[in-house]
This record gives sequence, structure tokens and C-alpha cells, in this order.
Amino acid sequence: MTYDGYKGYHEASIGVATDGDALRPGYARWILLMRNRIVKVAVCALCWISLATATDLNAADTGKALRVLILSDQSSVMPGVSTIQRNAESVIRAARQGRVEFNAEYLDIGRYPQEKLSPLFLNYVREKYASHPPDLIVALCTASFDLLAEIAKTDFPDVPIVLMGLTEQEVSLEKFGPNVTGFIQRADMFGTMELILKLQPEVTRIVVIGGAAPFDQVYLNRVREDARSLGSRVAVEYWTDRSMADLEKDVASLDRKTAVFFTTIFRDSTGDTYVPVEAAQRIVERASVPVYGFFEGIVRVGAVGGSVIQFETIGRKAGEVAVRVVQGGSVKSMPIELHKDAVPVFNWVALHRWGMDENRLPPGSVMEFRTPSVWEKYRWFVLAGLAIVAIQTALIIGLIIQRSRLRRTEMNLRESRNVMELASGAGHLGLWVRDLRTGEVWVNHPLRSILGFSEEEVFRIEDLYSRIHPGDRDRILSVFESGAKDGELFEFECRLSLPDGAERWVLVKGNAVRDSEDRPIRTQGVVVDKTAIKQAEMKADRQREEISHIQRISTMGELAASLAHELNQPLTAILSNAQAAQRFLVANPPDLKTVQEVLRDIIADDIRASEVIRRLRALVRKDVREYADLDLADIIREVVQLIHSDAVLHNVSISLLCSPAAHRVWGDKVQLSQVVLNLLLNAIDALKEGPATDRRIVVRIEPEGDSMVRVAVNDRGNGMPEDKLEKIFEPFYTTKSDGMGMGLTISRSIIEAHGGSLWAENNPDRGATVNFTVRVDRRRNGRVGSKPAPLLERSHYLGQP
Amino acid sequence: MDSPKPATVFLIDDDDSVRRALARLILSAGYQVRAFASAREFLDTGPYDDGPACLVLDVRMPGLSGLDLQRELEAAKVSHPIIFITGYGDVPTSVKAMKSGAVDFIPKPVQDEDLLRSIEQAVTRAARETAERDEIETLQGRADRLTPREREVMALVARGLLNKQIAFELGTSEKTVKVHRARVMQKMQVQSLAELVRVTDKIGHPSEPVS
Repeated sequence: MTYDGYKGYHEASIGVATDGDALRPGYARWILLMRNRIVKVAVCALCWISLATATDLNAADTGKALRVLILSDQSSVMPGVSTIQRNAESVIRAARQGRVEFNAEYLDIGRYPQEKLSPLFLNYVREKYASHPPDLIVALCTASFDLLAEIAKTDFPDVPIVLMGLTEQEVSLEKFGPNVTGFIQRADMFGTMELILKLQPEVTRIVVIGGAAPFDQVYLNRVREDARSLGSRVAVEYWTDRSMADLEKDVASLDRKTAVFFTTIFRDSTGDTYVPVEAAQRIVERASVPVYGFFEGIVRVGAVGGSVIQFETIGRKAGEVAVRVVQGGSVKSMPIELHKDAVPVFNWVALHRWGMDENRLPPGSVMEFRTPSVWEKYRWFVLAGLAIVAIQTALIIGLIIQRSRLRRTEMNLRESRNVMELASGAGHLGLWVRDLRTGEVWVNHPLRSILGFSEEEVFRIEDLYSRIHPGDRDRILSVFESGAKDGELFEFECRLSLPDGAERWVLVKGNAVRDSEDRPIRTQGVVVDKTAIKQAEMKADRQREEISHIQRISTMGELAASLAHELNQPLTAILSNAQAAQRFLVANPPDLKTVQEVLRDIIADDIRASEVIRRLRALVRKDVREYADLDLADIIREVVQLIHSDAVLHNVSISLLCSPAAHRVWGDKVQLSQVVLNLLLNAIDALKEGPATDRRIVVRIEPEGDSMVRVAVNDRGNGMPEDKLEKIFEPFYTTKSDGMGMGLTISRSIIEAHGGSLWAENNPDRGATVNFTVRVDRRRNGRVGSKPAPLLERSHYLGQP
Repeated sequence: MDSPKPATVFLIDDDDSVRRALARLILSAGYQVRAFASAREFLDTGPYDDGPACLVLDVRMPGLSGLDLQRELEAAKVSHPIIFITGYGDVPTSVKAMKSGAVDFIPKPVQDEDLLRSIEQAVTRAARETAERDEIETLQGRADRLTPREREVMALVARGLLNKQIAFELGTSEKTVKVHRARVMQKMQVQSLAELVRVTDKIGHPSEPVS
């Protein structure tokens, strides 16, 4: 669609009145594709083209410019004319390789009297092109081809002529000679009227408006002719002899059952000339009913529409014919194409102005000035928008579903976390999860309180580390970090130092969770506050120490006489030596040699006395237990020395048989000494009533398996009833008149704390043997993955053996 | 002591250093010291007859204790005075020892004066007892040479009977009694009736003839 001329130019409406022989109403149906319809003109069979002409045209191809002369019976200011010409030119130029020289001459017979101007125009063209004849003449006509035919036939008989334009006239080929072909369009009046009735079924009257010029009459005659085909369906009224002013007035008061069919007004009844499209505009603007027309321009000025002729199509089709001619096609074999079908074109704005139903338009209708609906204009945007909305909706629904699932999961999680919190809170069980990638640490309430953090404090792993007792920190950190790295289960006990100075004991168990690539991503675990247990254990331990100490003191009491003797011996020797020395010194001469010996002995005895005191103190002192690598044989020897006097008193001999391979143990010296002391005193006790020859105690130190050492204290006493073998370890069980009954009980607890056992058995022949075992090696400390050894041994020494 | 030969102290103690110290102390007082580590050793080494002596014994010793030794010596009629050295507060043992005739009981640590005084007393006593024992043995030897009739007469004389009372008792004549009496006096190497009575006291009053 071209819009040129709508504002700046007058539209040229072209046409020559015709008797309409070739047009029957049936042909005037709206047909979509016109180009395939070729109307053969009967006379085309007579056409021939000379070989020379063709040769000339081919020669033009070789380099010389192709000269095309365009002759028009209308003015170039008519938009229709210029549209046709421009389209034809561009088609020719596009197809032609070489240069094309266009010349154009315009007669303008629509608005000016033909009679005077035609001869002048003929002469002018004749003179102008006599010396430079064109290679091709294109005749652009909107009325009559007669004048142009005359020029072509008389002045350029050998030049091929291509006709193009709009005419209702019968084209007489004889006027042109044989060298003619072209494309000619006819107006479709019937089609327009049919459209009126289709769009406005309520219309009972069609007012046909036309001008008074001969040209106007041509079209009006076509309307009259076609209106006959409508029969009685509608009344057709012709307003052709009215002035423009009257027309403007009259159309303003038409009733709704009337439609206006504007043909052309080149000149009104008063003789004023018009460009038809301009006249149409004035009618359209004032009409109280819809206005229809048959040429394209009228749609642009506000008419509803019509089955209209399109100038662009005419120009292009004619251009194609000209190209075929130029390319050497035989003109003779190319009949003139007569086109009767027009295109139904509508003004969308006008349609809507009159409230017409778009659905009534015939298929293939062209809609102009459509203000496309939002949908049409932005269809893809809308579709894309809708798609986005749909996707978003789906997404939102998905998200909502996911969210509700998430919420459900969260709720479950919260519930299970609540249960966990409840359980962990009730058990005061600390829980923690450490994200190894972010370093974040989650801890539950009990753990916060164990670690001494408030509920709000933000928590990092360093904060947890800072709570570990400095003495344990390095060990625990290495376990923590290697656990995080290896992902192994770890378990340990450690002390915590809280900011308020409190100390806590905790058991920590944890493991690492790995991702799909087997890398540990977080560690998690439980923390049990064992402070109370530890304190109870420590208290029990202290009490045990206490009782153990009391027992030692009480044993010392039993030994007092014997100990006094042990101490008295060196003191006696010292005193006597000293007094003897005095005497040797006062003698004359003094026996200095002897005095020297005496002094040496005094020193030795002093040392001996202090040894006794040392041994005594070692047993009596109240120490914190201290584990070390000990020589069990040394311990036994010392104890034997301590009770030597007692053994002598009761005439008991004690011998020690020590396996050289195994006498080193891991233990506490004082406590093991206490056990040996108890056992030896018991053995002496068992022997003192017996015959002097049987008063022998044999102590053996032997290996027991790989990890233990066994000490057997064997006596030759009377043994004991089998049912008493266990009973002697019960507290307060004693056979002695002055015994407390705690010696063996405490001894057993000590030995069990050393990881060994203490038991009694009767010898096969005579007497009894009391055995105990002690570990050889250091007890293992808490180690990752293994059951940790308690940091303090627990032992039950009261109430149960 | 103006005895030409110093008295001997037998020292028995199982404790080497105590034994050595005590030995030095006793030695410094001018006694001969023979030290033994056990009672058994002492018994195995004896008997000892060289002059006045005493025993210094530790009550508490492995094997034979001091008291055991005391018993054995008593059984063997070895009458050396015994001085016990004892540990602190060993009262029952002390009593037992004293009842068995211990001379003294000295607690450890030993004060030199106590020990030496005790030894001196013991040695003196031992010397006296030795002298007495020797006299009785002489008198007894003389008495052993008496005839039974002379012994009877001596006993009756010692009881203070007159010759005629004795003659009546024995159913013999006064004259015979006189002869016996003179022989007794001679054999017993006494000059007076009073001397005879003292001797008879010492060797006892044999109411019946010793046979």
C-alpha cells in the first residue's frame, strides 16, 4: 500500500467510459489472486512482431541505453498515475542489465479540454522524439488509448507498445498496429455494491454520487450497467447533476438505510473541477452514512471501502510485460492482459466508526488504517508475555508446592528437632554440627549451657576450642581436626575451662558426614557433661585414698613395735659407738684408729636409721596417686625390710624369687607397697602359731601373659576354708582380734585400679597363696575410635568386693 | 676387779652393727668380749670355763631367741649371769626373763653406764658364785671322805646335840661318839664346833647318808 498523494497530491482517477461488454457481474467476484487470470483478447492472434525490432532491442542490451518513452493521458500529479509509473519503472530497471533512459509526457485530459490540447500534445511529442525514437513505448492511460495509439501508429510504427492503466473502453488493437501488448485493469462496480449489501444488509437504497465530466460519466455508466444485476434487492439513486455544495448538504441528512457509492467527480454540475479523491473526501466527511468507492484512494480519505483497483499492481504487472518485451519476447505471442477483478479493501477506522461487523468482510479482504488491537500489534510480545506469565505461574506453583513441601519437611524437621531438643535437653545432652565448608557451627541449648554461652551468642568453632582446658587443648584439637579430615568416628574426654572459672568434664563423640565425592563436609556429634560423675568419682577416689591412707596408718600401728625396734637398732649402735669412742679417746694413749672405725659405723647407722624413717614415711604419707614405671622387686624388698623386725619376732623367714624377665610394672609405688605389706603381714599372721620349721614365706614375681606381672605370696600356714577364700576380701571381715578387716578389701581395690586382680587360693599341700597381677605397660589414654580409658580410674571399695 | 685375768663378756646379737658397737663399749671397759651373731653359734662354740663371765643377750633374735638360750643354759647348768638387752616396752618378755634369773634388763638404746655397771655386778656375782661353788665343792669333797657313822655324828653335832645325846641317838657309847667326833673334825679340817656348824650349813644337812 502506498500512501503517497494522500495528503500532498490529488488522486487521479482514470477511466474511460465503456459499454462494458466484457464485464459480466459473475466475473466481478472478489478474487484473491489476479495474476493468474489472463484474459485473452481475441485480436491478439493477429499480432506479430518483426524480427528486426527484436534485434534492435537485443542490440540495446549490448551497451546502448534502452530508451523508454512513457506517454500518459493524465497528469503526473495524479497519485494514481505516479504510482503506476513508478512501479512499472522500477520493475523494468530491476530486470535490465544496462542503462535505461526514461522519458515521460503527460496530457492531463481529465481536467483540461481534450479537443484543444490533444493536437498540440501530439505535435510536441512527434517533434521531440522524431530524431530520438524510443525503443519502447509505455502507454499509461486512465481513459482512452485512442490518442496514444495514434502517436504510436503514425510516428513510431516499429516501436513495441506496452499498454498499462485503467480503462472501461474496449481496446482496439487495430489503432495500435500489431506491436502492442500490456496490462489493463477494469473497475469493479458490481463488487463494490455487493460489498455494501453484505456489510449493511439493512440498506435499501444506494445513492451513487458522480460528476458531470465525460470521464465521470464513463464510470457512472458502468455503475448503472452493474446495478441492473442487483435487480430489486436495492434501490439505486444517482446524484450526478448536483453542485458540490448541494452534495455536501444532502449527504449529511441521509437515513441509516441508505449507503453512498462515490464514483468520481472530475467536474461538478457547476463546472468546478476536482481531483476525484479530494471530492470524495468532502463527501465522506459530511455524509451521515457510510461511503463506498471503487478506487484505492477513496479508502484513504475515510470511505468504508469497496472492491477497489490498485495502481501499484497495475504498474508492476505492466512493468513485467514490458520486461518480457525488452528481453526479446515475441509481442505477437503476448496478448493484452485484461484484468477485471478488484481487491476488497476497507478502512478499518471507518468500519469501526459505523459499527460494522468485521466478520462480514469477504475472505481475502485488505484492511487499511487498522489500529491493530493490542493483541495484533503486540501478539508476540503478548504471547511471550503470556508464556512468561505461564512459566512464572508454573514456577510459582512449583515454588509454592516446593515451599509447602519444604514447610512440611521443615515442620517435620522442627518436630524431630523439638523431640531431639526435648530428649537432649532432658538428658542434658549437647549436640553440635559443624559445617566444614562455611565453618559455621550449630549447637543446641544444652551444649550452649555446658559451654557457658548465652542463647544469642554467635558461635564459631574457635569459640568452642577456646573453652577447652589449656592442658587438654592441643590433644583435643588434633583429634578434632584429624576427625574432620579423615571423617572417622572420634571419642574423647576432656576438661573445659569456662570464663567464670568453672571446670567441666565432658565426653565428646562425633563423626564426619561425607558428600558424594567422599569429602567430609561436616562433623557432628554429642557432648555429655560428665562433671557430676567426675566429681563423684573424684570424691569417691579421695575417699578411697582417705580410707586407704587410714588403713596404712592402722597397719603402721600394728607394726609400731616392730618399727620401733627397726629404728632402735641403729640408734642403739650409734649411742654405744659414740660412748665407746669417748672411752677410747680418754684412754692413754687414745685409740684413734678404733675411734675412726667407730665414726664410720656411726655414719652408716645413721643412714640406716633415716632409711627406716624414709620407708615409714613413704607408707604413711598421704599422696596423690602417681603412676610410674616401677620395679616390683624393689618395692617388695623395701616392705620386707620394713617388717623385718616383725618377721624376726615371729621367727618367720621371707624369701623373694624374682623372674628377671618380669618385675617392672606401671603403677603407684605407695599403693603397691601397701598391698605387699598387707599380704606379708597376713602371711606372718598365718604362720606365727605354727611350728617354727614351717614359718616360711615365699614371694614369687612371675610374668602373667604378655601384659601382666603376677606376684604370689605363699605361706606354709594352715590355709583357709574354701568358702572363706572370697570372703576375706569383704570389708570388715577379719580373723584377727585387732584387725580392722579392711586390708584385703583395700588391697583388691588398689590392684583393680591398676588393671589387675587379687585373689587367694589354698596350696595343694599346705598353707595358702595370695596372688595379684599388675599391668606391665602404661595404660592407654583416650584414643580416636577406641574405647577411651577413663582419665581417673574408678574403683568400688565399699559394699561390693 | 683385781682379778689377774679380766672377766669375759659373751655378747650375742644378730644385728651386726649393734653387736659391733656394744662389743667396742664393753671392750673399752676392760672386759674380754666374745661376740656371737646367734645363740646357736654361742652354744655350738662353748663350753666356756675360763674365769668369771657374763652374757649380754638380745632378747629378739632370729632362730633361738634370748629367752630360748636362757632356758637351754639353765638346763645345761651353765650359770653365767645374763644381762638382757631389749627393745622398747617389751615388758612381758622382761618379766619372764627376770623370773628366770636374769641379772639385768637394759632397754635399747643402751646407756654405757647402765650396761657396764650391770656387767660389773654380773661379773662380781659370777666371781663370788664361783668362789662359793669352789668352797662347797672342797667341803663336800671332805665330807665325802667321812664314813656314814661319821656323817651321822657330824650332822647331829651340827644340830647342837651333846655327845651323850648323840650316843643315845645312835645307840652307842659316849666314848665312841667322842672318837667319831674327833675324826670328823680332823677330816673336815675344822677347829671348832662353830666352824663345823658353818661348813655343814654350806654343804647342807644331810639327814641321811649320802650314798
